[in-house]
Amino acid sequence: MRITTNAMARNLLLRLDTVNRRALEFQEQLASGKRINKPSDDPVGANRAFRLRTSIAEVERYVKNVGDSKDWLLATEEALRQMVDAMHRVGELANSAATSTVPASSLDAIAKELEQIQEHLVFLANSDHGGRFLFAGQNTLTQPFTAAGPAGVLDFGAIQREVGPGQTMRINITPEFLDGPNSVLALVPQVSSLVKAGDFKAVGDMLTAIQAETDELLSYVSETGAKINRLDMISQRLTESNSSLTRLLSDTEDAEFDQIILKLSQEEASYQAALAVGARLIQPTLVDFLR
Amino acid sequence: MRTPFMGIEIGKRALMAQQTALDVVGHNVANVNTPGYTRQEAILAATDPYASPGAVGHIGTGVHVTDIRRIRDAFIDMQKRTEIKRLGEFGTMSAAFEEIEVILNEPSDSGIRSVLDKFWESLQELQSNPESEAVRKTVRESAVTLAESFNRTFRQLEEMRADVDTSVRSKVVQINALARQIAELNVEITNARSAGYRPNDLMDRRDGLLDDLAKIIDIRISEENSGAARVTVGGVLLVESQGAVEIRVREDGDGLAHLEWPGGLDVNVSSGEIKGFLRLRDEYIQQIKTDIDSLANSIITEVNTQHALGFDYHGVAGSASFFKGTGALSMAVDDAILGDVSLIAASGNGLVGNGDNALAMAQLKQKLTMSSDPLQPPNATWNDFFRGIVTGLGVDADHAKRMAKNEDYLVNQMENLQQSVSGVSLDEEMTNMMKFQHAYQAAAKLITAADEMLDVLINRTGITGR
Repeated sequence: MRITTNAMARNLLLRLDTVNRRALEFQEQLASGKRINKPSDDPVGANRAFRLRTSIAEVERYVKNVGDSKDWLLATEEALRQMVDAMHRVGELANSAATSTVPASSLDAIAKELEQIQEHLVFLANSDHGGRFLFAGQNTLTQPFTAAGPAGVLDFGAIQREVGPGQTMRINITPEFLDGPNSVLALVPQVSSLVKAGDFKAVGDMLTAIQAETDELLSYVSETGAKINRLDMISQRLTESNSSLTRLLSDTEDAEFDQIILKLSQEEASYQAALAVGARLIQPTLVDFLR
Repeated sequence: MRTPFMGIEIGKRALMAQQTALDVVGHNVANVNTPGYTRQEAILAATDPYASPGAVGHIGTGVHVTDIRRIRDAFIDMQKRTEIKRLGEFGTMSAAFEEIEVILNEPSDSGIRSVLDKFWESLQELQSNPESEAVRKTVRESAVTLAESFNRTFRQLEEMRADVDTSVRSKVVQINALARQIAELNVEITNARSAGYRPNDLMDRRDGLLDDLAKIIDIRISEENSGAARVTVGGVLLVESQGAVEIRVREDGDGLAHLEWPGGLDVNVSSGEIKGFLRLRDEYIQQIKTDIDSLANSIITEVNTQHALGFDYHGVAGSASFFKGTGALSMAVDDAILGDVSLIAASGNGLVGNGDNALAMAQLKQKLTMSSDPLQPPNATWNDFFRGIVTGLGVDADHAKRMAKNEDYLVNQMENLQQSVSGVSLDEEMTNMMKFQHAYQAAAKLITAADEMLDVLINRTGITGR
């Protein structure tokens, strides 16, 4: 093969161009920190990265749902606990009012305290979380109870939250336990009026009903607690899968700096070598040696 | 019988021949950097010998230049043009794919995938907080962003398709201009040839134009006996010795350009830049446009259908549709919802704290709604479908990029081969220069010698006793 003057210059330029182009590619990867900047950089990897990003967005959504649900359940648990405390006090008061030896003045004080407790129970039944009533079913913006009982027709709709793909959880306690003649809210006024009337025997008979209501409230407390525990577990699992998805995404599309820098310095070396060779070979021709 | 003047004649012929050869060397050196220049060579041959009666054998009569030859390999030319047209096709496509990749902007946190994810997320949030006006506004804004992303992507693809169409037209103009120039050169070349000259430099120019033409459209070239180049495209004559045929542009119903011959026959394009543009316009960009459009259409229909099943903030059933429009370009959030976010039907039963319908809308993202084959039942979610578009684009772009790179390499290879045959080597020319310079000097010496001999003969002979 004949090697001509221009062929050497051309080839040198081409070689420099190739090296520069590769260096540019590495530079782009280093600057963006990503191995895949366009789908064509690695179609298979881009496909994976695409799917992983969507999965991460989903997991983040579930993490947020779980957090919101937990807040709601914690507020519910607190309201229920206070109701239980109140009912314990109602039981104590009823117990002391159930004996004939109690003087009338004390009965009066007991009836007064029971009225206060009733007011507190109504307040608790109207508990809200961020402006939404906890015990109003799906009718969350309408105050469910007044001192006289349910404010209107109560809704018993469940509030569901998605805490995983296709995995929902009911987070509200529907207000059945606050409705009807045997409910917490109906029971205390009954006790109070019996105490006021001084009917010791009837008050004594109420004790079982009071205990039964307290137990029902306690069962709701433990149900809520169990849900909170479950949410904690889900949250932990979501965090784990989030971090593993993020790691996978990083493995898929992030640039490996040490490797790229190494390659870049190799390119730099071959660029300099090409320049040096070019400088020595391109310059002289026979002209330089003719006199 | 030899005459004594013969030596001078031989010397003169040698002087002239060596000088012509030196001129050719000079021409080569002068054009060492001229693109498309083919080195030339003076062909020296001994002149016809002279048989003088009575003498022994033939007596040589000197040298002459029989031809100034262009040193070029027609086979390499042909191979190079084969690769050049493919380089044209894939180079064009590879550059355009890069643009499409920029338009789709994936993988990133701001492309359609991302705004789609954000839209689903806002609906999930609405499920958790159906009472909140702030969350409803988030849903509206993310829906507006989604619609605008579709609008923008589609519009950009449309603009790009129009740009590509413009490129097709300007390439047709180029083809015609090149064909005309080649036809003109054909005339000059045949004229020169019939006058007995070798129009080397004109042929170089014509070869350069043929290379340019081969890059745009696939041509077949043959040389007529007259020296004129005959160029055909898809078997139909474009250029011959008589002139060039003009390719015309015909517009179809959509205003897109198609190539046709003066008779109305379609030009059969199978490679070259113009093929690249046509494939982009009619296959790739069109396909992505159609896919994006059907994706938008499906989202509009499905979301609206689900939205109509729900109840708004006030407990009113299906009071407004969510999206309006029928495709990627016309997609927009419905005016009623734009004006009043309480019309978003988040509730599944009319109660304000119920977010079931918002969840049902959010869960549409998991529904199999799309199918790449319209005859098959849906087998992909929106996300899968869009991922398919992006991956398909990536594969096509990668293929075009690789092909363009390969072809670039092959064309280079061919150009190197061509250079090794036709390129000027200064070292070689300098060597030739010295060779011809010495020959010239020697020939001059020869004439001096003959002159001296004649001097002896004419001036110093027959003077004995004078």
